[in-house]
Amino acid sequence: MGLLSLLRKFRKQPSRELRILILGLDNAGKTTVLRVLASEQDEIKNTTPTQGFNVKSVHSQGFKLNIWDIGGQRTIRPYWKHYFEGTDVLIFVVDSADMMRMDETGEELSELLQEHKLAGVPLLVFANKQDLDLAMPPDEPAGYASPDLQHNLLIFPQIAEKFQLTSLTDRRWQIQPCSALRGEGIQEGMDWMAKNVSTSKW
Amino acid sequence: MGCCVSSGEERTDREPLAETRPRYSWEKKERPDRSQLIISGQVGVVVCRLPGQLSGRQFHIQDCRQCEIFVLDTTSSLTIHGCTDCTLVLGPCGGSVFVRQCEGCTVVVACQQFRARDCRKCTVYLHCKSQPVIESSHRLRFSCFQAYYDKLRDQFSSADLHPFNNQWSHIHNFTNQGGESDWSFAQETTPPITPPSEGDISGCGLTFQRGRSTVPYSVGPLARPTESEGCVVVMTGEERESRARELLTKLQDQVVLVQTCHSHFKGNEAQAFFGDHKSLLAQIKTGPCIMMELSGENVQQICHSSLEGVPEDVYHLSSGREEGERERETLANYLMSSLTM
Repeated sequence: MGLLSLLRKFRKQPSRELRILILGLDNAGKTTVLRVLASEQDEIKNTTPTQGFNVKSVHSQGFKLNIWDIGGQRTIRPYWKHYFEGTDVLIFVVDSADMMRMDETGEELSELLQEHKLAGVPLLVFANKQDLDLAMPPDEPAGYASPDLQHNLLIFPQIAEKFQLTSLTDRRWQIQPCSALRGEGIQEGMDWMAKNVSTSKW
Repeated sequence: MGCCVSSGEERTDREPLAETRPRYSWEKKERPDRSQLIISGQVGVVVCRLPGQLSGRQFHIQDCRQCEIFVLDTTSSLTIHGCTDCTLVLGPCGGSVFVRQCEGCTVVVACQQFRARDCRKCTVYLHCKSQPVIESSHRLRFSCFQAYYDKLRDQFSSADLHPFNNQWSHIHNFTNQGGESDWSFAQETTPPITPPSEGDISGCGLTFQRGRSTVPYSVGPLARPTESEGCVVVMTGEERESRARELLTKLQDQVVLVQTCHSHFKGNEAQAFFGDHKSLLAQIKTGPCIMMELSGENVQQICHSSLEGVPEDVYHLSSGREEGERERETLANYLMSSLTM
């Protein structure tokens, strides 16, 4: 994808600086998403679990794009809050193939959504690792979604319900299935971001 | 069918998505038989997956007790959750291995990433391409991956791993309280596991015998013998791996293998790291190489005589105590720096 092409996508924004924050549990695939955004696909197979954070920046003609990827281990999640300030888009990455941690994922996301400093910030949920065999199937009807929601939530009703996104009224949000490993679905997520970031803060 | 779940504002002006939406690879593939990919709630049994049965699929092991689990195939992702007193032998995983809430287990595994959380009293014989991490765990013990079966070397390649690219000892502890109560290096150099003698698995050639392992036994830089002579051996050419293995077989027990890597330097990367070591640099510039840090009394002389018969243009060996010292330091720094992101 490349940071420069990303930057071009966002250049229409009134702001001269854009800050994207990538959060999610450990092993969700945040750094792999960052690598795809930065056109570092060759390096995906060398990725090490993030101990602090990774940041990728690009400057061009007075416009600046910063993407922050913060480590997601339980012990270091309390530090996430230090990165909230000035965030334009929140990307929350979910390991769709780790069913046992959906509750933990949901809890972390709902806490984030109550953060004052992230109020109104558009939320892009990457339902990552769709390439894995045990990934939550996107097209399976929700076992526990209410019937009236199923109409609109054909894909990922489980995730939307679990994370209580359907009741969100204070921000734009989107769940995008993806496989960062294969570079699939990321582009669509970025397109959504480009369309939705401008109306949020300015 | 809609493209994605999203907030409502945009829905009315959205184009009919069925036509514009890309078709993803995961939508085209056939759903696997999930029951083959999950082992759950077993007690006191031997469970096997043989070479070719998984071929890089995801695998999940959960809530087992006193089981012996042999997964002699490649996987793309492995989760081991809530297992107690189990023995797990797991073939190369091209993605991440996540061990959670396990107690009293012995795990032999090779992987791209290794993560452990909320584990107690487990011993891990590890091959890991990146830095292994642990969190909220106690009394874990780590040692170098040691195992062989007939298909294992090929499986390393299928999983995009190399037996010599092993960073098993660089453990990062997210909940470091100081002291050794969280983790330590295991004294054992081979897993105390007896391969099953019955069933199809008995034909796989599985052994934990010392010296047979597909991954050479390295002690890691933290256990590098202090005060002893060091050296770096670089092996290039088509036969680099077999020659490196031959050398290590000859050296066994005379010197200590500290760490190894398999690298293919591109651009000016080699110059940037090894520019100060002319002879070593010249060797690694010839193509993909295996690099080994060795340590021990008279290590250079022992290596030199063990390399007899190997063409001189396919290897480099540190010459002199000072050069050996400098080269091993540079190699150690290079390997540390490869763990950054």
